[in-house]
Amino acid sequence: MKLDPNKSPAPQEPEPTTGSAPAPVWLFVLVALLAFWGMGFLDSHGGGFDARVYAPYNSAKEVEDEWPKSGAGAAFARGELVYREVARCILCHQPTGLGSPGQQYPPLAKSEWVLAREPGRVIRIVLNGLQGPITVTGQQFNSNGMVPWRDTLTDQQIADVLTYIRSEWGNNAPEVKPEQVKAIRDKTAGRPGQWLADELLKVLETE
Amino acid sequence: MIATSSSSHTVSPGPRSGSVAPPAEIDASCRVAVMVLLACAAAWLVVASGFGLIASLKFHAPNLLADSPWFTYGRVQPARVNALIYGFAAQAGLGIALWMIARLGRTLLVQPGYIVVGALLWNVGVKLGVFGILIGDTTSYEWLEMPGYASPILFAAYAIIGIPALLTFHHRREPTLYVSQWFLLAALFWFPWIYSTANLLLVFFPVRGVLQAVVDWWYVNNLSQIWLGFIGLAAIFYFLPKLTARPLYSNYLAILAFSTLALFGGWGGIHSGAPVPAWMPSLSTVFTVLTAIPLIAITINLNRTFTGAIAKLKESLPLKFVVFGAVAYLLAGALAIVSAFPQFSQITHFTLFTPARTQLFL
Repeated sequence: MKLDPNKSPAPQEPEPTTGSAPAPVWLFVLVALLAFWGMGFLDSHGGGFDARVYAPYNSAKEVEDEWPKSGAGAAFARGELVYREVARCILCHQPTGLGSPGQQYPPLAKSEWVLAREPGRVIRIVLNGLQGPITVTGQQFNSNGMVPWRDTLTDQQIADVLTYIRSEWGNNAPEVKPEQVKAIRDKTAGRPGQWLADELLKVLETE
Repeated sequence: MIATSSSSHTVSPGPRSGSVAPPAEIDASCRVAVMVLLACAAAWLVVASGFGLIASLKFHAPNLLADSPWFTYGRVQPARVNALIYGFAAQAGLGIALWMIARLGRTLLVQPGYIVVGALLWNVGVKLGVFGILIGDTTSYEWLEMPGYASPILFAAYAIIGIPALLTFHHRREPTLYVSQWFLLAALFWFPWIYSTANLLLVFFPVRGVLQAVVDWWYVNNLSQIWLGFIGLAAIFYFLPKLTARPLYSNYLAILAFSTLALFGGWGGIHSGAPVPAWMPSLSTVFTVLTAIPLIAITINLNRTFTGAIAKLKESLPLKFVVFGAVAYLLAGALAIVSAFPQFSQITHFTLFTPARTQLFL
């Protein structure tokens, strides 16, 4: 490009000049149209400038619709997290909730202990753990010891994970509230060691 | 550069006066500085092509140089890109820019000695940077792969070249500004801004996480769209009217193109589907589409200027280059707009389409 026009006829080599033809009106109309389109595009794809919205979602509402609903749905989702990641119940009781009968880990699915209408006993098991012989779904187990979660999990987490195991795998028992856990936590505060199944059977479900 | 014998070597510009410098003297004042820049640019183009050849051969013969860590693909490819951008494109652009600034201002180039020093320093920086990439000191940011010990040299060298360029502009004897001068002046200021910002945010005080990618995309887009684009457009707007000996069709269209490109051009670059909040790629898409406005304005302007001068295309070799450059630029711009749409980029993403587009642009 550095090849200058040697053959330029003018001796003074005129530098380029500009004409003054007007810019066509339709170009400005096009600016307006494109700006209008752009606003529409941002409105429908920009996620309202919400930092939580990523492609392929187009709005904060679409993202929120994917979140667990409030109430039981949210508790269920949180409880699943406790089951899988926080307390890792999943290691013994398995993703299927069927436990490992060969290793004396009883099932949670269809378990009458889990499904009891009032969750008094199952809350006690989570709080203090359990050991020794126990009958679940008609099968004999000799638990070599479920660990206590009293000092590790909050009332909310215990309520959530119980809500989860009471409605997963075809189970269908009512939600557990953190207040119910707190009541039993306070009631059994001084209790040392894990429960025995016989001991628990003497406690009323409602207590 | 005109090849007439240079009669005088007066380099220092006199006080600002009404008298314009004759073109031959202007060219004489520019010759050494611009030639150094252009010669180095040409050398880097050869080097970059060599790296490109090695990188490309590796796709066909993976065993080639495979036992040399210096020449693995991950080092040769960025070395090639950096040699091409900072070695070739930047220096060629600066060289032409300096000459156009002097010519359009009808004044002698200010302090060409400093510019030569700056150009040599720039080359030291590029060499060090490319060497740093080859020994494995890459920063791994696209187009900013040069390690932290090379980029400040480039920055300083740019300042040494850029300040005389601004002074030359300041000493202009031609009161009316031509289109190319706007583009050149904007480009001169644009590079230090984006280069320092991107380097500070990525190399020296790195921002966290995905923001790094966003900064990098912003830099790449601004460097190509605004800096290289503006210098290229300045050259096209300068040479096309000059070689056809016709005035540029419309000053107003040029104003429109310049302002809209400066306004819209820098926002693009974040492709749809990028792992960032959705508003960023959407904004990027909108602004890329809006660059259709300057593109159309430039097309009309150049086309109307050129109409009736077809015959000259045959006899003037430089004109052929300029027209080819203009067509390639406009085509690349059109492809950029098309690919800004999510539907389209889903198909071409991760293919060689994007590199091909970039090459066309350069």
